Amino acid sequence: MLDHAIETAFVAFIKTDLALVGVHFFTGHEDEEHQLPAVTVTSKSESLAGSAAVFRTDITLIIESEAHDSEPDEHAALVEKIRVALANKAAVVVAINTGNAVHLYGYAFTASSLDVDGKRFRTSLTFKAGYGVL
Amino acid sequence: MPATPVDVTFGITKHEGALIDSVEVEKKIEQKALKGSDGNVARVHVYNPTNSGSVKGHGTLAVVPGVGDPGVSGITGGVTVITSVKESEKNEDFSDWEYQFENYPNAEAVT
Repeated sequence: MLDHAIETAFVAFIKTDLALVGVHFFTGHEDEEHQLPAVTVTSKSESLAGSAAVFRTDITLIIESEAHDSEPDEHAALVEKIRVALANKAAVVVAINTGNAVHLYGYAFTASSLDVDGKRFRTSLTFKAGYGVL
Repeated sequence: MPATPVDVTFGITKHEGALIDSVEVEKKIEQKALKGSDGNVARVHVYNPTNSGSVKGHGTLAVVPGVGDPGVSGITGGVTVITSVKESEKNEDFSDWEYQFENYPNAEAVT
């Protein structure tokens, strides 16, 4: 459930900060019908020094667009919007630490990748984060 | 039913900190050996026991260089000197710290 808490916090931030119309949001623990365009946040946490309160996590943020219904530029614009929002670390940390069940200490982007197939554009943004539970 | 082993520990047991990665303690003693007429060591005197070690962890650090308490169980008595404190930050990980200490159990501090 720790992963779900940090996933939910990031989803809440992206959803409210960017007000992305028509975009569906998912966490790695939600068993819902996957509709595009979609932003999915997954987290894989490990304890820091055996602590029960502080964790490292590898977060993957997957942005998907329907390849038939959207242009590559539209997908790129959506990715850029999210990337720019997350680039303002100080604001993101403050936003996530307000009203959520986790306390985000910080994060750093580590990689991004783009996959394209016949059905969808799929961009993954991965970053490392440190957080604690309240 | 195998007997439960009790002669090992797992995890940090020598430090009370919440975010400790590792604790190392080394106990040393000096010796003076005197060889006898046949070439074998015939007399041995041991002296000057000392303890040294290091602690690595995360979070708030109250330890500063100088005479102090390393917070490591079993390191008591005499004088303990925190010889170095190193604090580190990384771009994609938690900040961490490390300090090293020397303990002289038979010494007393002078100012």
